Order: sequence, then C-alpha cells, then structure tokens
Amino acid sequence: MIQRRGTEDPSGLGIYPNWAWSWPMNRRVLYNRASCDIEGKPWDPQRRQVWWDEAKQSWVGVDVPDFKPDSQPKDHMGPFIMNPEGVGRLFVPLGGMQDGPFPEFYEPIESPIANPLHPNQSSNPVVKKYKTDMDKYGTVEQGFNVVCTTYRLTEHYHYWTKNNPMNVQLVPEPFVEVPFELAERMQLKGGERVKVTSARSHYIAKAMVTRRIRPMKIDGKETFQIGIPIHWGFRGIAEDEGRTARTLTNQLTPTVIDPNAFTPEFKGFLVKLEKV
Amino acid sequence: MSDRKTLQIRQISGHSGPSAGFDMQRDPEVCKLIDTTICIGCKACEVACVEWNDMPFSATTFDNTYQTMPETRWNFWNLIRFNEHQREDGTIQWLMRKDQCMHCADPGCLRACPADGAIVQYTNGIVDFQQENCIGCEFCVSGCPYDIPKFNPATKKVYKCTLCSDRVGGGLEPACIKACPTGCLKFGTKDDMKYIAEERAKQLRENFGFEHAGVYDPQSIGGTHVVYVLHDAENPERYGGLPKNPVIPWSYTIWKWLAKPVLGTFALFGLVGVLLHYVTVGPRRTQPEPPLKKEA
Repeated sequence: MIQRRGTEDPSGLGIYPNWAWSWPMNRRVLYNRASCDIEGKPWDPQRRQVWWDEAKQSWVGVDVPDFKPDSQPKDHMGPFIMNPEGVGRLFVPLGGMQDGPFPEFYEPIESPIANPLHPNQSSNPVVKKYKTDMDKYGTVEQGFNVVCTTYRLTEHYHYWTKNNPMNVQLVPEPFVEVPFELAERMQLKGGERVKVTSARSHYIAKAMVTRRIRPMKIDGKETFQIGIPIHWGFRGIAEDEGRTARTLTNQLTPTVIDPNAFTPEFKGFLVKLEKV
Repeated sequence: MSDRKTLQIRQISGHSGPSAGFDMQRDPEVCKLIDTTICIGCKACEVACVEWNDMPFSATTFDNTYQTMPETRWNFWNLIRFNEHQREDGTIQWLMRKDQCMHCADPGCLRACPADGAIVQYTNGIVDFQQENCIGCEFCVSGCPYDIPKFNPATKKVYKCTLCSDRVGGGLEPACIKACPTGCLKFGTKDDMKYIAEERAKQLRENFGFEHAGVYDPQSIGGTHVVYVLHDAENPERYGGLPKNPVIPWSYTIWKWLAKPVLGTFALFGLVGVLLHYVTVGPRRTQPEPPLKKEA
C-alpha cells in the first residue's frame, strides 16, 4: 500500500487518495466530520470532504470519514471521536490544562525577540522553574546573542556509548555545529575550539563549520543558531584520554519545565560563542 | 575461507591456464544495491562490518565532518562518505554514500596482481583477497579505480571488503545489509537489484523531481556487483569522488595481455639459446689456473 503512487485527485482538494497510505484507514484529514455542520452538510459546498448521505444512511465523501459511519447527525455524536466530550478542546476551562483555557504561542524563556503576539507576556507564565543559583536566564542585551539547540546523534545512545569503542570510533569527540556565515564572521575554522557560554555555565568543544545550519532572519535581525550533541561529559573514552573536557551539554540548558507535558526547554536557549 | 559448493571460482590472479572447477556450476551473480537517496548516515553498516570481520578498535579524530575517517583502512572496509553539496539556489543537499569495494566485473586489482591465488573472483561476482597467497607488492592498490585495497604494514598483506563471502557462501546477506535500518541497502541477484534500482530511479525522476536520478553501474569496467541509486547520476563525483567512468590503468592491461606473454616468450628464446650453445659449443670447461708468482 505504501508504495502506491497514484497522482489522481478527483476532488481537486489535494487529497490524492491513491498516493501511498496514511494512518489510520488511509484517512487524509483527521476529524473530518468537523467540516460539516450539525446537520451533516459541508460548511463550504465548494470544498466537500465528507457528508451525511440520507439515502444510504451513511457518512460518505472524497476522504475516508473519520467517524462512526452510521451515526445519524441527529444523534449529535461529536466530531472529535478520541475525546470523551467529542469536541476539539480549543477552550479548556476548569483546570484541564495548567495554562489555558485557550491555546497560546509562547516564546522560550530565553529568546532573541519578545513574543510578537503579546510582547508584555512573552513566555509562558506557569512554567516550572527551579530556584537554585544555577537557574539564571540570559538576554540578548547581556551578550547572549546566539540561539542554541541540543540534539542526539544516530551514532550514540544517550550518555552510555561514549564508553563503547565501536561507537567512539564513529564520532570520537564532542563538537559544536556552527553555521558557515557565523564562522566566517568570527574567523573560525573547523576543528578549532570554541567556548559556548550561557547564563548558567560554559562548554568547550571543537567547532564543526557547516552550511547545513542556515542563518535566520528574525524580526528583521540576522540571527544565528548553533547546535550541540549531548552525548559527552563526565567520563568516557575521549574524556579519559584528555581529548575533551568533562562538562555536560545540559549544564548550559535552562531547566524550565512545560507545565502540562513536563518537557524541559533544552531545545532553544541563548548563548554566546567565542574562540578559545 | 569459502564454501566450495556455492563459491565457484571464475578467475585467479597470476594464474595460467583454466581455474579449477570453472563452469561446473552456474551461480547467479550477486549484487549489493545502495540507494543513496534514503541513506540517513547512521553508520550502522560501519559497525556491522567491523564486528562481523572481528576488526580492532580504530582510533579516529574529529575532522570537521560527520564522516568517520577520510578514507577506508585495512581494518575498516566500509565508510559512509558525507558531502555537503550546495545547489544553484543556495540550498544544501547532504549526500551520503557508502564507500566500499565495488566488486567489479573486470577487477583492476585482480588484473594487476602477480601472486598466484592471492585474488580470486567467484562466479557469483565476489572479488575476494586470499591473504595467505598475498606477497604484499601492493600492485592491486594502484590497479583499483576506487582506491579500495589497503596495505597493512604489520602483516605486509592487503585487505578489503569481501562482500561477506563467508556469509554469502552460507546463504546469508552481507553484515552491512543486515544492519541497515532504512532499507537503503539491499542484496540479491544482479538482475533483481538492477530492476529495483531502475524502478527507484524512475520513481525519483517522475515523482520526486530529481531529473537526473539514475543507477551507477559503470560499464567501463564491465559493471559492478555493488550498484548505487544516485539523485544525480550525471555527477557521481559529488558523492565523495565516485568516478564517472572508472578505468583500470592501461599499464596493467599492457602488463597482463602484452608484456607478460611477450617477455615470457623472450625468456623462452633465452633458454633455447643456452641449449643451442650447449649443443654447438659444448659445456664450459675449467681453465687451468695460471701459476702464482712468488713474491720477490
């Protein structure tokens, strides 16, 4: 099924029902019952995805209906079939979420710009923050003008494989990926050591200069992003041979916890970058 | 080293006369298919190769790239080459190519090798080095259009990828194929792999906008038993120096097909001359030594 390459689109809506396969049941738009009014008629007669067919007593359409097919509109079954109340939770009162009741976009705690939607409340007011000496946050004005992100490599697993020779020979040392344009401005060459400093700590590793990370234009300002794989620190083959420092990437990152999903904000924060 | 029932020998290096058992059994030609368009550069194949072949830890250093080392080593036969290609519109294509022995139909290493039995080509297409017969002259290194055989100074022998002839002989796929998580690597008969590769290239051309997508199976060396699907088959050099038209150096062709038989004939003439000299002039007689002069 996944190898199907039919490019026909009978409805003209970009559904392409015969191109590969989509989970579940080759359905292209989830909750597509929501495209109809309470009577089962499409809100927009020009762009009909699914509708209630009175003659067949069934839901039909150009997409696979994401609904109980024989549930009549007068039964008032909600289109969001995975939620008990059958609606989409755009408005969640009564403490269903820690923030809310409406969904909202917030910038990270450390961001190069204020949130354009509402600059006076740029980041989420109910994130969990710790109150130790390490929990400090930097701003662009203090010189933390580079966006940093952290990630993992396919060659390593968490912090374990830095002790396994098979993995260490694939990626022997920690590194910091630096965009080519930023490196040019800093007169930095690949393989030279850089010091990444955040409001909390610093991290020293070799620079990997690459064109894969592109400069960004944010709010009219040219902004650079760097990336650090997390797999090193404390002790491992490279650390014990003195080829690298024993500090952890996550000493740089802010321990700011999402109030609903408890995900820490390690993917976006501010640093400054210097040659060592 | 190999299972005699499944690995029939087609050619032997430095060997005159027919190969033992040739044409007794017809194996289908095997082939490894590498679809570079779905390689994610995870290097699982590198580890699988090192582990199956029981190679030691190979120290590497950071070199401003994700590539493990600049080129393959005598104890590291399988290397993903990472290349950042900047397209005309400024966007980046990160090309990853699994580099290893291509198992050419007309192997330059085998043609160059003067040692009897050091390099064999099986009828299924695998080119295998037999280190016990290797004399360490390194002619194969310069005969290879892909710079694959590597010399180990400690043992004074040359090593390279065997296409896991020990696994294939037992009916298994090579270790790298087994380890690949994306289906980028496939193994089967040459006909099947060529068919799948052409279908995939057609798909890339017609559905994904890669106008120049194609299959790399260079006919200048009679085809290879490792074929690539490339996004841009017209510029294979972008994938870490994959030659578009690989050729075996002419000197090796001259050596094998001209110089060796001609010089051999000359050597034979020399022997004939010695024999004729013996017959016509007779054996060399010992000359009486001149009497030593007594010192005054």
